[in-house]
Amino acid sequence: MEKLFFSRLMFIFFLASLSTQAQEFIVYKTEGSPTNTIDSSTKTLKKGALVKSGTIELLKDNKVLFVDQEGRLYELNDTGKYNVPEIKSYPKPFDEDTFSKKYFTYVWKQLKGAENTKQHTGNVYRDNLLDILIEPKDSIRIFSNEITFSWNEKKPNEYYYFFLRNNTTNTLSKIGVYGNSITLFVDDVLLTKGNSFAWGVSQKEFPNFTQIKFNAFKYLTAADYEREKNEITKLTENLLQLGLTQKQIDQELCDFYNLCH
Amino acid sequence: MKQSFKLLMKDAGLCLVFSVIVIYLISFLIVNLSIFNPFTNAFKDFSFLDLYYSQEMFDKKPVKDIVVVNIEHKDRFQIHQLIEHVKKQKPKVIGLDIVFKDKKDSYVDSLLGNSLQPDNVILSKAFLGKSWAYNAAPFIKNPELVGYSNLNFNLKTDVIREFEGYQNISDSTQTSFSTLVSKQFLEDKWNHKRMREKLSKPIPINYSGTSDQFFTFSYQEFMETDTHPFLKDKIVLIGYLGTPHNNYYDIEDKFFTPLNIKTAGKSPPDMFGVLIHANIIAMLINNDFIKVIPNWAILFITGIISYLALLYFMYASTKKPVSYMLNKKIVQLLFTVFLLWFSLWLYKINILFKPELIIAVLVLSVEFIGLYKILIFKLNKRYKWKSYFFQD
Repeated sequence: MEKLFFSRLMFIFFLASLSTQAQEFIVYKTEGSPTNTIDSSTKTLKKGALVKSGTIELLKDNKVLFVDQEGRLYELNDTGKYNVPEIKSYPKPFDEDTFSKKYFTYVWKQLKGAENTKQHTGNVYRDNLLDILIEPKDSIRIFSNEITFSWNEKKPNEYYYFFLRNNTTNTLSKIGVYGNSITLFVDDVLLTKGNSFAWGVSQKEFPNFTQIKFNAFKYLTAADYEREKNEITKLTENLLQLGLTQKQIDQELCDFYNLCH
Repeated sequence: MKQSFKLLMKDAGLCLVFSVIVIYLISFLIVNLSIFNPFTNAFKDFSFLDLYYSQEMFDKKPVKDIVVVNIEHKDRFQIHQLIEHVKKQKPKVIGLDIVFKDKKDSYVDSLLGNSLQPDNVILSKAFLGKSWAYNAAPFIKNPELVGYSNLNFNLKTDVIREFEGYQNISDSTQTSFSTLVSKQFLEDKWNHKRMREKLSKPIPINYSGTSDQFFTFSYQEFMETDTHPFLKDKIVLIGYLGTPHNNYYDIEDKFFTPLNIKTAGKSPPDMFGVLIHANIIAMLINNDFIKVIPNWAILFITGIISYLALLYFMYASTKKPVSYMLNKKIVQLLFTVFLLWFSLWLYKINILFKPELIIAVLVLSVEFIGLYKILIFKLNKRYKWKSYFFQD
């Protein structure tokens, strides 16, 4: 009797493990910033992330494509919250055009001569990204107890949404602000030393993040800064010998060596 | 009646031979006269079957066993960090589609060299026609774990349609990078004898897709995340995918493939080398090969179909002369369209049936019926040559 009970128990565990496995999804592609919340922890979904439990939240213009262990695709593209097991209910519709339909459509277009080349305009476009960020500039290392972010000198009195993405913890913070600057202080909540960040601004509450510029920066710990500083001791000494003041040297290091404080 | 049919059969056969000779002479002239160079070059890289990919008739399924990480223009130290980060994810095989040809900073080189030593790391080298481009001394490892990254040994075409897994170069058998990665991944499932036999000659590549069908990461995307659990026991290829990631306009290490949206004419190359390797590896590990219909079978089918077409059109040219011209054009068009559909359908079920020769011989041989008639008329006048067209 005990053996029978034990074997049944094992069988139930086996089935349970199979059903758990079946609910694993890998993020294949994302648009916008869809999130996965498990208990009270929220993470932005990124390509390659493994999703097992919790809820998926999609804001406006967000989209996420999952792939399961069998290679089937699932797509969430409507705003809302979804439990992870629900993903199975949203299989990505296959390209419904059959092979023959595609082929004969192509033949028809060729017969009609409908496949023209596109317009050639002979210019380049530089207005794709909203690039109004001033400081901190892109790809720098900062050591400071406060950082002042500034942007768009031309429209200093308008309302902006300031976005701070913590690349280390995969979290995104949004702050509404009148004016074209904001100062944040190290607090281990928004700004944590040792983490990597990216920041950007938009006048839309829910912007398309592929259309706005983000400047990345690494927020150095005291140990990081000392190590970086030691690496450039010779350079600093040379600059001092050239007659530059410490303030000028700091500015040079920030401008050309991307190490700011 | 019976005699007439016999003559028709003879004429159809002779007209087919006559057409083949004329087609051969014309193609010989086109290939060898420099004035026709633009045509030769235009057709050299052309295949009707490229429509299968360029018109997106293939199944766009994600390839889940292979992940490609972009090294962009990162330096050797950053590549070392990337490799170490990849190793932490415990993939089964790591393939580097990069050649570190020269020594640089000895400290960084030694760090990178150490990263490359594990047996699950496959390196690449390149055969440059007469010499090899190898990794420099700090990166040397067991030669059995270094494969050639050459994508084509057929220098007559620029489109990468075929692949050779093994090559005899300088009296030794060399193994390709993709073959080594696949072999390492499949371990005991790799059938040495069968694969050696199969991959020693050029075989068509069964493309799984573009970067849309593969998991590809930019350097930053990959490094930003501490753990990528799904990479465990997978293949990770490290190579160049443009700067910035997947840049359409970046053509470094980019090649023409059948997936190019333009099947003929001018266009930029469409696929990065490492993605072509990824496609080849997907084909090898999934045993997803394309069977090739041999040339003798194509020749046989060409002969039979063209002969039957000539029989019909020779008959129609005497019995229905009014509708003959119109019928001929319609049949030529419909035959071409449906044969192409048939060969694409075969391609869909992994059978390579090249329709170009059949279409060319059939369409042209039917056009040569008039010329053949003139020739026969002269033979008939001079030698009393018996023909279906000139019966007493």
